[in-house]
Amino acid sequence: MSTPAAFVAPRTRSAFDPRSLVFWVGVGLLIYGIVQAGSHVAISLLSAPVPGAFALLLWSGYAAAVLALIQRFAAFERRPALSIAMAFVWGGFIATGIGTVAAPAAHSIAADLVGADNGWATAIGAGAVEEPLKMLGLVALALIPGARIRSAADGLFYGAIIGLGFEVVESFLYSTQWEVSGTSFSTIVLYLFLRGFVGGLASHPTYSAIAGAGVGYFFGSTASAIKRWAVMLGTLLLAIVLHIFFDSPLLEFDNPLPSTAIKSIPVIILALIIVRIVRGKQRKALEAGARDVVPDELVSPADFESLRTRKARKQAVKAMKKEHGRKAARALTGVQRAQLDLLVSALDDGMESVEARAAWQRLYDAQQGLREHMPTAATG
Amino acid sequence: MFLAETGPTGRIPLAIRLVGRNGVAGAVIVGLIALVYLVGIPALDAALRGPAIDASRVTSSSGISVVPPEGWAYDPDSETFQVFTQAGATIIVAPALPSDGTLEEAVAPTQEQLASDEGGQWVVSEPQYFTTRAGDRAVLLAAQNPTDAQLLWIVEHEGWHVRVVMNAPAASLETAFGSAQELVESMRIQPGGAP
Repeated sequence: MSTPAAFVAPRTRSAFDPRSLVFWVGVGLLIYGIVQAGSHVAISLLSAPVPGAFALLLWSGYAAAVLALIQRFAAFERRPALSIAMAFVWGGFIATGIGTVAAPAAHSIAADLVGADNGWATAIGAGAVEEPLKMLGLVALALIPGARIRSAADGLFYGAIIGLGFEVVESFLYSTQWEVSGTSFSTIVLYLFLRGFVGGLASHPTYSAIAGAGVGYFFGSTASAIKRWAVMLGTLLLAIVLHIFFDSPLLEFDNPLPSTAIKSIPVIILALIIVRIVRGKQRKALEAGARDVVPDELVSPADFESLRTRKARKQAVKAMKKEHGRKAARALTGVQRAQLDLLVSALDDGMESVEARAAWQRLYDAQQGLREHMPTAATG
Repeated sequence: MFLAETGPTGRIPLAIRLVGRNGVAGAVIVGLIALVYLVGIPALDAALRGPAIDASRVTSSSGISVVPPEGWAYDPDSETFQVFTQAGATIIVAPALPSDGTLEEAVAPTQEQLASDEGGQWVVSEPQYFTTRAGDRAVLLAAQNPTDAQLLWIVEHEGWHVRVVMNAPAASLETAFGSAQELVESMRIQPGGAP
């Protein structure tokens, strides 16, 4: 495995870096996005407070649930909450705000090419604008070293968050155009069902995660420039094509559910392939970290076997619960978390870094806790 | 977290090369790409469109006059239908037709048709009634799906019904709706001019 030539710590621990000009460009675009998209959100809430609050509650709950799902898929690494929030805000306000200007114009241009009544015009207009705009947010984050977007896995994660922000704010706005749709609670619920669940996994978070994996690879890989550019632009193109395909009039049936389900298949398969490749590489990196970087008394290669998959971690916790009870099982979960944090910190910043030392301390505390609940067993 | 590579290449990842920098080049790149979407694409669209109509009121041969929405292109080719376009949205004002029924009866078939069109995934709102500036009763029916919106207005004037239809991508509905509603509210129907 090739590791960075030198461990150089970024000056911040998240994407919040006021000394970076990229940060300030992002702030400028956020102000624009708030004026464009945020003002619509505010108007929706002020003009009809009860249904507005109801829609906000529903979409916030949806965002929280999907965020938890994304976090679950990213169990190896815990990312800073501030960076996650900034990614969400880019998708929710900056990409949405710019999209309100660019997407209709792109639709209009596409309509010139394929005809105004052609369903492809909407699909092309949305895909060609929204995907690059969401990816731009990830590029901006990656240009701030504190965001630590250093691999396809990081790009995949933050891409999904940006896509989630976009989907939630856009859907909230669509469901609260009171002048058009009336202040109907059933309309709001129908919209949540249609955009949140019928679209299912084949939606903004998935497309952005695919494009994001390419951005993460571009910033973290030591491959040749040609290969890195090809991967980044290739994943963007793939995201655009999938988005256009999903919105296109292809495979439309009387009942939308089979149509949506069939269209979701290639999107989900491709996303799962990318997730599988990325997670395989993550495992390989962590395995090498347990073998070569972190001392065996903290995380040995044998320890990593029980950390390798969620199933392995759960099985270890289950066995601990059976043998030593619930508290010991909970303590083992803490040990596993601290071991993974230590591996990630050691690989990213070196064993002597502040982050690795903090993870080391957490691991020590967690191991102490575990010993208290299973005094006769060795805890590594 | 850095991931495993196939072998040492001697290259340093961009993520590490950026550490300690102020990001001037990155800021310029992000800003320029954002400008392409904020200014470039709308400018290209405007260049491809016909010039926006500059008239205080447009009257069709069937006797319907409306104040054209600002910034919308007008298709002067059709004498009976008035067609306005902007940013992917199209507004069509149809000729007046005689009708004995009420607005409620007039809008019901379209409402039922959209609601029963399962393939379209339309979320159909309840009809909303209002009065135009000329004092005519009117109704708005809106339907949206994840990508598109279809809006129908019917204006009633002394036994005549005028239908206005707008198709728009969902993304531009927010801005297009205001213009379309203004157009409908500005409508004047001259019974003598109607067929």
